[in-house]
Amino acid sequence: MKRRHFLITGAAGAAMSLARPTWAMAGAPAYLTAASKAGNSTWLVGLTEAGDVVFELPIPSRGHAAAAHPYRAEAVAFARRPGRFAVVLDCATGKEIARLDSPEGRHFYGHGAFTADGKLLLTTENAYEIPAGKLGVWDAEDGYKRIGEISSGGIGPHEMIRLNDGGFAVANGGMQTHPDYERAVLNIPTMQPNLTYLDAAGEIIDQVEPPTDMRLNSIRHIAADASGRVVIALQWQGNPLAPVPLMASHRRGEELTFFNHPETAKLKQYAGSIAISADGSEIAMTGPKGGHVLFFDGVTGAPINGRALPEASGVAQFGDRFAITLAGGLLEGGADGGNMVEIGGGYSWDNHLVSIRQG
Amino acid sequence: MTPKLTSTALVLSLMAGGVQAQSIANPDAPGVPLETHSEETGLPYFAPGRGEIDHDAIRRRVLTVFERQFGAFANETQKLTDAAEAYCAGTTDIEAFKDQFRATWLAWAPLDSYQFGPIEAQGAALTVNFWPDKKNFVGRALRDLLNKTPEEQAQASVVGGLSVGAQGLPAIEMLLFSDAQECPAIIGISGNLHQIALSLYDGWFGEYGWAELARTAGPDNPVYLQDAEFTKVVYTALDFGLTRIADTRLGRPLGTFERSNPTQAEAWRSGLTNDIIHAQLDGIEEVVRDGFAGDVTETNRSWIYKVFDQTEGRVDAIGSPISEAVQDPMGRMRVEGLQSKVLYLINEMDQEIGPNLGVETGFSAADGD
Repeated sequence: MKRRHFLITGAAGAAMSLARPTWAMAGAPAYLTAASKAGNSTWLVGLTEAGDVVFELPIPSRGHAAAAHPYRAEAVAFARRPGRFAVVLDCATGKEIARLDSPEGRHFYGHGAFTADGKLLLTTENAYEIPAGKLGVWDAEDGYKRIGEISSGGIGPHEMIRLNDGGFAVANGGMQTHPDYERAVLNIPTMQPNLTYLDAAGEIIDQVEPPTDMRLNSIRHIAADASGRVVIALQWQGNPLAPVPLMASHRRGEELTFFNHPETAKLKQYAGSIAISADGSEIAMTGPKGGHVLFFDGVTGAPINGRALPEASGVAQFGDRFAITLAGGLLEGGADGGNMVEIGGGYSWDNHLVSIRQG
Repeated sequence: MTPKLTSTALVLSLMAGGVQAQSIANPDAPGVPLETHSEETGLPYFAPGRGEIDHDAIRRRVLTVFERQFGAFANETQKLTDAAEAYCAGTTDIEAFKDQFRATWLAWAPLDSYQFGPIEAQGAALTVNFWPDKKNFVGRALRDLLNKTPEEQAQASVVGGLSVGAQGLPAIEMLLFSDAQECPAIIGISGNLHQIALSLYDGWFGEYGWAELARTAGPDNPVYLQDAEFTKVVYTALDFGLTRIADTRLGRPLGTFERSNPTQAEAWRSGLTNDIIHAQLDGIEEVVRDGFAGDVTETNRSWIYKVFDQTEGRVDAIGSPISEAVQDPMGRMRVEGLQSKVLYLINEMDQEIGPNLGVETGFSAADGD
């Protein structure tokens, strides 16, 4: 496999886009999220900003995150780790376009991202016998055939996002797992998370690791602003009684910066999802285990406040503020409050709310 | 901190032997006494009429079981270190050491189910039992150990500084069942295992240990918001242990119908595979019997004991080490029969035990990932 410029596939496939439904044809959802209902049925749900469910598509088992194609109405729903499937759905027709099966010795970690031209899908994967973190490469122009894999730059790659410049940021959580041990972390005494940057061609161009005293703070979920600054939701794997920050941010060429918040303890050492508001003024970070959301100043990282929100799970941009999935629906707002949008149907949301950026 | 084992074991045996069934008046059926305590264990049943699950009592009893099980591993690793020293000094024969090696692995087997708390925090799953080992990490790590001076090989701290493959039970097993020189490396490995065992015990029951976290469940607890969460974690751990027996301990050597994988059986060199499964089943049953105990209704409890007995019976019925059994058609059928029974046991736990404990096994937004 040719690694250099592996992901550069030539001119964007504008012609293809005409042949396949666009997001507008799928009811123009603003967000995607995995959800479950009573009886453990599992779904991928498309939501508008008004909280209307424009589609709910069944998926084979519990989903985690999803990746939206940049312009076609195609979404990839990933199984929750250590899942071995991902389903590509045509969100306009509700039909399954393809099912991705992780290769022998690999499982999905539950996140992925498309290249800016929409031609390739990258998936975070665990090569658990080695062990090593990989990014699987799938050809979205050819039935989502797997065409190779590249290094994620660390152990336990979890969320990966595409940055504005077409490159990627990958949260290598550092946590070694093996399907024989289900979800148990096997290497806490030696774990070493990092944040890895890849260029649009899939080459690793930068990496940053936390300092020694933050080595057990797993870098798991990330978001970025237009300038490429990455904010990080952390999961502390050390002594649960230790008071540690759970939010960090990074700009390339600098060290990681960690931000305390007086209500951090309410997150139970576990931050779920994170987002920066479109105007850059606020950062919201959910704590699904603690049922709490923290708000930080988007520029300085200083704490603003926090709110008890039961089952606060996914967070994404909503105007200049946030949409946050929680028990019973969506909260649209920010540090100064917001509106609760109730969503019927008895959904229980999974951890992430994925914004569909219209290409 | 050295665990005090004998006192706990003694108390429990007294409880088991001496307590009679207790009863109160039965409002639904006057004249028929309602038993509140099991004659067998002396532990209270699901509190009649109260309609709630006593998670506090479950936690107290489960922790007693855990203390016994983690304490046993600490004791057996101490004896293993003593046995290694005696064998290497020439005062006992290899069989005495192998017997103690077996006892040590069987003491670890129940702990394999508890991949949360101290075992996870200390990375003990792989240091104690590096398996599966498809790439011969154990053999390679052992080579590093055997290249050291005899004095270094015998030191627990030296072994503890090596990669995990050299640190655990499979490393000792490979030394015992190969041409390698087992002495004095087995002294260092055993000593290091004992340090790990003490550290796990302390991680649970020492100051600020995991047991304390479980006991102080509440809004300000960084792990357990409510008492019920510990019950769920323990129940999930038992489910994990059973799944691991079915999918991994049995599934790996079974392989496919066309091709079994004898050397993917755990501990195939020593032939302890079957005994380890038996010991893990015993450990799980112990938590149900003495930990969940009276918070599970008597009918459900009797039924699940019966299924445990049937499952253990199928382990015994295999009649040869699993690594050998999977290689002939009749033996393979018996291993598959055991696997089906373990899967059935998982299902029966979900039907008969989980609901008694108020444990929901479905989706929860708080599961995290």
